[in-house]
Amino acid sequence: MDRRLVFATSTEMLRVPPDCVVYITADGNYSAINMADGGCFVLTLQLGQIERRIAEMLESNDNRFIRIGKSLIVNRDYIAFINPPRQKMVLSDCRTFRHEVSASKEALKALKELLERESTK
Amino acid sequence: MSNKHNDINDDEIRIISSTDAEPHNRVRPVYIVWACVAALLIIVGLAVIFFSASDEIEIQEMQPAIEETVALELPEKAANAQLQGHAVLSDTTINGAKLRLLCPENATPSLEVGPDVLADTSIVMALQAADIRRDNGEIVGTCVVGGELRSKGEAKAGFCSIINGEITVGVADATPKLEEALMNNGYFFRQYPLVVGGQIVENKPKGRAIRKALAELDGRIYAVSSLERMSFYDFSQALVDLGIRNAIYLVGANSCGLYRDAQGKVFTFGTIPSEQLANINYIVWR
Repeated sequence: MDRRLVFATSTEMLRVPPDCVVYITADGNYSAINMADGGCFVLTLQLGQIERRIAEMLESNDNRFIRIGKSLIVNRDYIAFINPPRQKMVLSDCRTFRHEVSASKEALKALKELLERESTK
Repeated sequence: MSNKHNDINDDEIRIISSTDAEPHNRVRPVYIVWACVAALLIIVGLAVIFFSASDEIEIQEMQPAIEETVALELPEKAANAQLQGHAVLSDTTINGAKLRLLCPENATPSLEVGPDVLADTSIVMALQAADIRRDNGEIVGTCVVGGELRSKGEAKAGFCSIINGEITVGVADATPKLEEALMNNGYFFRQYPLVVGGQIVENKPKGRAIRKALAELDGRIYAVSSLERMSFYDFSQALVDLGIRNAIYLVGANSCGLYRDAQGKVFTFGTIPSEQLANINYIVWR
């Protein structure tokens, strides 16, 4: 089994496989971790702290998570659709779940170019 | 707590990888600076101890100079270390604004919730802290009591944290003080910010009312109350004129509280709500 991501605060702990995390959004001091099973965990951790924990726990060749702007982290494995002009991105496994998120045009454009570059390698 | 993981614009993206973690393990220049500051403080502290032990006359000459730097009738340090906890009251007028300052002495702060808080006879000083929602009676904004998260919310950017007896007043949408309060059985609540770094913070609520604030002045925490109805802006301006660097609002108007003077006499103020508000909360010194 893949190593789990562990997020712990003084009052709670979340232990989840990385491939079950679809995206994480920031809400001030809180972060909402949205799961592939449709669940959502709200932790009293800032998104920067979440990002740091992910960076510490991931394998060295694992770069599936991408920080997009100040308020969003996505699992690139679930990026199904990007439309920068409409500031729209769909995260889906194309079978069981579908989430629509929004980010800035420039960030989505950069993300689209990154994924295009990687797909042509 | 600025670091790479917070340094990103909304127009940027960043691949998160384990190599990002490495810089956090390195000693950063900021830590070196803090180490130097700490070393400097230790040296200064040793020097103070040395001179205080060797030359009492010099200290006696210095004391008046220290008092002269205080513009207000600020409370003097308790001469007797055994003195019971009490609050020192001083009224002042600054640019036409009449203010009352209350400063707790020999008392430890905390945040307490419940309608019976003021009935405790050991309280030195208490004022209502976070607002209560009229619709559902919940506390407005994030609130931590004894390390327990009592409510969540970011409606107000001002915050007060109490961690290991130390009060911090500040303004931030996200602050590590919240996590510290949760991890150290501390206290945290949110309110309107009034003054940040000596500058006024604009607030939406208009109108005039008795205003109250939790303010930091010369490294000490004061509860400041206007003695007449004032707008947010005028109250904040009066706090700035007073020399206050940081201040957040406390529940104003006829909010209730009490303080105990040096003789042990208890003075109450405001109106205790007739209905039993389960989440009425107070910043308390005892």
